Amino acid sequence: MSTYFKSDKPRSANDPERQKLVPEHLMDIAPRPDACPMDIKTLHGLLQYAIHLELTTIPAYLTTLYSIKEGTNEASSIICRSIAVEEMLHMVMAANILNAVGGKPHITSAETVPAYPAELTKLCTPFPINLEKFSQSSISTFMEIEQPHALPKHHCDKICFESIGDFYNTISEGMKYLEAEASKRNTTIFTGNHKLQVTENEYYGAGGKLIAVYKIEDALIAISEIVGQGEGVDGSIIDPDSIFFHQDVEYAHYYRFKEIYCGRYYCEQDKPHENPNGEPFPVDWDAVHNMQLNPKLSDYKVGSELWNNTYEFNKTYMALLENIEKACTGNPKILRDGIGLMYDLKYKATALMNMPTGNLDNDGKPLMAGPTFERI
Amino acid sequence: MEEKDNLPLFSKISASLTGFSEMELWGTGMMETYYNYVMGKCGESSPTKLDLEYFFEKAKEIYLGDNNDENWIDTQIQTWIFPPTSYGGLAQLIITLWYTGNWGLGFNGSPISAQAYVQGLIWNAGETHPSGAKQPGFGSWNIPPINIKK
Repeated sequence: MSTYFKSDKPRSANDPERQKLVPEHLMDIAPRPDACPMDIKTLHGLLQYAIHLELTTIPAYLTTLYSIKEGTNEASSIICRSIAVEEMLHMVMAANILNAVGGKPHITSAETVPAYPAELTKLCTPFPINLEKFSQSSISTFMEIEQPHALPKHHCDKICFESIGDFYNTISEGMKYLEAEASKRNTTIFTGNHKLQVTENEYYGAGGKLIAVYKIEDALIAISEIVGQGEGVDGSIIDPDSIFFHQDVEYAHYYRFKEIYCGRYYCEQDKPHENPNGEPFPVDWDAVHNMQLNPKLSDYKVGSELWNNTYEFNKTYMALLENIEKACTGNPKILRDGIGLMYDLKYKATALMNMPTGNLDNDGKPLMAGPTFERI
Repeated sequence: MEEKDNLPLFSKISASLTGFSEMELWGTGMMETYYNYVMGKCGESSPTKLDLEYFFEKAKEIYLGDNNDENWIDTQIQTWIFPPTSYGGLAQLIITLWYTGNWGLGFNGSPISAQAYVQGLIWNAGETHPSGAKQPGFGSWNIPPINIKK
């Protein structure tokens, strides 16, 4: 541990002290000699897909979080909440990068808002991501999403990605290549209007630091943070944010979900391939609203109570996404107004999970409605 | 009689008495808690166990009879169930329970649990929120209330 931990000041993205802490290969802005050519349109497409990818995880994580009964599973709730909040941060950072390279983020489009069960179709082996109650099944899906992978062998005829890390690495390498090509012509790909950036002034307090992107170094840090929070960096279980931002040591998402799965915290000495060896904590898989899997508005009769409540939930969800879209396309200050919508969404989701659908599960227990997170 | 037998009836009568729909009441997560509470509380003094029994008998007659007309049901509730003199004032107690989370009227009442306070219908009815328990978000006093209309 360096003396850095004693500092009270969070490090800005440009702080040389902080950059020392980022693994060097991530901060090297030079493209690899055998870099794969990419055009700016493709980069825009990949960054838009990154927004979709992050948005796909958020409803899944929130559904699981909200299904936990009030006052139970405290440790698991804290873990799920902190991860969901970090995914929101990632989504806004992906939008920041897209804005920085002259693209336009879409948050509410049909291609961006996932329908559940969802699949990340750009992955070589996609798997279903469900709106599912807190259970060993949902937590193991989340571990699969966040699973760390070694980067595959470099090659340029990729038609799909081996992992989310591979996907983001392709974006990083593409940006380096494009920026190097641009600088040969004395220009840059970072042509976006600076006013479009959502900065930490608009996004306070939660899930690490929001990085505004004005140049390639910022973009690379933002991506290393996204990947680092998810899978961990370079085979470490520790989220690099805890080093960058003077937070308590925090483990990457995969490892935190694994803590829930095992009912035990990691400790500092643990190795990535091992199960956690820290303090145990109670996990009660039964203290959960018995929500039906992947509920849909179309499950209910139009105009029925369940339909109305589900519809209102979706309206609130869309209002929130519209708010984020506006914030990411020229009105960053509006983001704060979305906070009320986020709380409202939670209360509506919890209410739905208390409403019986009239159907029973395989054990004869009543199945409850739930948030459907649909684009309407 | 099984303890849970009258839960569906309790849900129906609660909806009629509060003006909220059955699903909205289920949505609070308090339905079974309140049902069990009422079942346990009746008989301690007034209302008595007998009041409770007759209350559900009457409710069964109203809801499970041949007449499904809503106006007829409402009139029956007003005439037989609602008056404070009926069944030891059980209807009044149930309304207060749903709206405030309290058992007992006026200053004699107190919330039966922390959740009962949070889930009180007065907050929804007043389009506000239980202070300190269901926050609307930092700085939200500064922006108009959210109202998502169909």
